[in-house]
Formats: sequence, structure tokens, C-alpha cells
Amino acid sequence: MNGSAIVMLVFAVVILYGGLVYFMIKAAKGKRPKPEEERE
Amino acid sequence: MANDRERWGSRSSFIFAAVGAAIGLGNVWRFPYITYQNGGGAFLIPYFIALITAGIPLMILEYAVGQKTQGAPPVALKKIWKKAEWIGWFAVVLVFILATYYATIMSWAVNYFYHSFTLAWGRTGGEINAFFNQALLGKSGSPGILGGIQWPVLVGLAITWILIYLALFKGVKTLGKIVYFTVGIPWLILIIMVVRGLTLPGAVEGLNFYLTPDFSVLLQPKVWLAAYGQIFFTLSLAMGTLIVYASYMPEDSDISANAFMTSLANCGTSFFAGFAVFSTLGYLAQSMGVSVPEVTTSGLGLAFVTYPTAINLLPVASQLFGALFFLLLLTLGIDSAFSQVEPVVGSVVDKWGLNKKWVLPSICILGFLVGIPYTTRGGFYWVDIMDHFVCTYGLTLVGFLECIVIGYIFGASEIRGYINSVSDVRIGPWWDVFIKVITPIVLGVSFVMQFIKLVQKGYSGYPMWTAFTGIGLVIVLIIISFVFSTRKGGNP
Repeated sequence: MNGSAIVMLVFAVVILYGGLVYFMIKAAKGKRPKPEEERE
Repeated sequence: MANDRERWGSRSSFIFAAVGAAIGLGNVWRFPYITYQNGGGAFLIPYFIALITAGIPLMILEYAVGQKTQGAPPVALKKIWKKAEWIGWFAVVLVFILATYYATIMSWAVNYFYHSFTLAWGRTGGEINAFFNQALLGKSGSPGILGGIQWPVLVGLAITWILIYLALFKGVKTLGKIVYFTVGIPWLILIIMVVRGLTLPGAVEGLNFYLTPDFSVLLQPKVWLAAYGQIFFTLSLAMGTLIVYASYMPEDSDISANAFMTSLANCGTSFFAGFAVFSTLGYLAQSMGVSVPEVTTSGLGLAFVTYPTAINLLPVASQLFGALFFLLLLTLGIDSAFSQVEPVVGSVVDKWGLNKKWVLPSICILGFLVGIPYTTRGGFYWVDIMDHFVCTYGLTLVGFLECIVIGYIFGASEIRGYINSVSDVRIGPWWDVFIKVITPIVLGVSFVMQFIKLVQKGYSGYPMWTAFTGIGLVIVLIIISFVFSTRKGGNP
């Protein structure tokens, strides 16, 4: 692949998958109880 | 009353269902095609901006409205503002029309899945084109000539509606379990297709086309409109789906983290699917001795004409990959299709207190009957026309109205306070600015620009009367929405 394509690939991966992992971690660390835990 | 409402089995069921509602043909077929048409890698920049400025703010808004009000779109918006019930009904009738033609596209996938075991679509590009346009669709040549019914398409349509009914009749708890498979299977097949595509000769050329930016196209308004249209379509915004799904969550469930994860997972799926499509197109271009832009035909042709061509050219196991690909289209489509039917069923049940056991089959039968004209020889054109008017005008209008009602009448800061009180991820005043100013301006400008273009040029080379039919349809749906909102409700 050419250089511009690689830069775009890295940019998109950071935004999409990096963002997804970031919010998954934030949600997992959230202090409020999750709904399923509340019902249990 | 809220305690009697159906509930998701777990938060992950809701996330999977919401991702499932958003992941569909929009990711595997529409995103790569729109990207291809709008400058390859350069399209990704307005696409991400559309995700941030409209996709995520509107998704948070719809989750919040559904969860706070615990109602399907009409009831939910009525609780926000008494006069806004018709907007909810407008979203519901729009998504019902959308479901009827979407099911028709699924019926094509059902037929292709059946024929993939024998590669009955032929060997050469010309044969495959003839299979799609003549043998399967029997295209009449004009939307004004409906011609007779294409029986294989009608049978496929019936199978599709039966699958939708079976997926929904057990309620949202079972739906939560079904989506583990209907979201999981497409990802599994996508991984196989991406690996297969990347190992084909010529794949790099396809990827270079997919990812290399061309910043000159950023000055073209149509690229930005295409990006916002794609975000609306792919995230199932303004269809009522997200409101009704969120209404099955307890009132104190997380909103913002769910919205961020759902939207990013959806767009991540689109981006990943692009690798399968463009690597295969690179292989196809090399095999045919043409450049990548010369390989594709029309939007629908990409999936139903070009892909079978690519599958035929695979060195081994063509039948297996053909079956896998159309199984992928089928599961993705079914996943989104039942997410389109659920808001209709939920709205009728909520408004009139009818038994879901009777409402669901009635809606499915009605959907099948309304879809019959799409199975005629002129049906292909009407799928295209309906899709344009429902998505470009209908959904944009609903999204715009939601922003106005929530932003100015209910109060963006008030609903943001509720969101932050239940969410793991706090959202700041930036959200108010998007809901009150940026998103409605973008949607309003998009709507007006598209309308001016329609009046000047018609739609896609079809006769001008089809454009007036489309505009007439949107007006009739608005009138129906008003009528529904004035009808007295039952005891839900």
C-alpha cells in the first residue's frame, strides 16, 4: 500500500477501534451498577 | 405500568440488538459503494465528521427519549411534547415503508443464496448481469410498466417475512438471544471474506483505491450530503428503532456509553467490510484487465452483479464462498429488517393496548402485501425510488424535527441532565450545541439542497412524475401520521 493509504488506515483505526475500546473501558470502570446486576 | 413493560435480558443483549439494528446492508454494500463513488479515502473524513456531529448526538438523543419515556416513538414524543406525537408516527410509517422494500432486497438475497450452491448465475459478467436483471428481476425498462409478478422474488419475500415474524414473536428477551447470532454470524463471515480478499492477487490495488485520500472532492457538497445520508441510514437514526429499543431498558440504564459503543462498533464494521469489498474489487480489476473504478456498475449491482463475478473468479471453493457471502447479506438484512418492524408493532401496542400476539402477524402480513408490487418486473425501480424518498427526505425531516422538539421545547440541557445522571460517560454542553444548532442546520441544508436538485432534475433519470409520486408519498405519510396522532388511545 502507498504511504497516504497507510496514514488513512492508521487514522481510521485509531478513531473507530481506539474510540470503541476507550468507551468500553470507561463503561466497564463505571461505578454505577449495571441493570442486570440490579435485578440480581 | 413501566414494570409490566418487556425488558432486555441484559445490557449486552441491548447493545447487540442496537448494533444489529445498525449493522446491515448499509455496512457491507452501501458504505463501500458510497465510499467508492465519493473519492475513496477522502470520503472517510466527512464520514467521521458526520458521525461526530450528527450520528452520535442523535443516537444519544433517541436512546434518552426512549429510555426516559419508556414508550415507542409516538407515545415517547407525546410525553416530551403533547403536539409531537405525529412526529413519532411519521417515523413509524416511514420505517414501515422502508421495511417493505428492504424485505424485497432480502428476497433477492434469498434467491442468490439458493442459487449460490450451483453458481446458477452463470460464468461471465454478461451472464451474471442477465441473471440479475432478466432471469431474477425481469426488469421492465421503466417504473411506469409494472409487468407481471416475478414468482421467485415473491417466494423470497414470503420467506423473509416469515423469518422476521419468527425472530420477533417471542419478544425482546428472545430477540436479545437471536441477535448474538445475527450479529455474530456476519462478523464471522466478514472475517473469512476479508482474509480471502486480502490473499487474492491485485488486492493491494483495491485497498489503495479504498484508502488513498483525494482532498479535492471535499469541496463538493454532494460528498458531504452522501456522508450524512450514509450515517443516518447505517445507524438507523430517525426510524424509531433506537427509541423503541431503548424503551425496553430500565429508566436508570446507561445511555451515553451505549451510544458511543454502538455507533463506533457500527462504523467499525463498515470500515472492516470495506476491506472485503475493495480487496476483491482489486482482484477483479486485475482479472478483467481494467482499473478499480471501471469494475463496479450501479449501487445494487455491486452486491448482486459484481460479487458473483468475483466469486466465480476465486481459485477454489466458489460455491462455499458464494453461499457464505449471501448468507452474510441475508443475516445482516434480517437483523435490520426485524429492527424496522419492532417500532411499528411497539407503537400500535403502546397506543391502543392491543395484544402483540395479533399485532405482529398482522403487521407482517400487511408488510408482505404492501411489498408485492416490488416483486413485479417494474419493482426494482420502485425500490430505488422509495429508498430515495424515505431516506433523503423522510428520515432527514424526522431527525430535524426531533432536534427542534428536544432542543428548544423540552430543553436540551434538561435531557442532558437525565443522561448524565444514569450514564457512565458524562456528556458536556457540546451536546446541547449539536442538538440545538449544528445538527438541525446540517440536516435542514441537506434537505433543501436535495429538494432543489430534485425539482430541477428529477431523480436519477426517471420520469418527472416519479419525483412527484415520491413527494406525494411523503405528504400522504405526514397526513396519516396526523390522523393516527388524533385517534384516541386504548389502555396499554
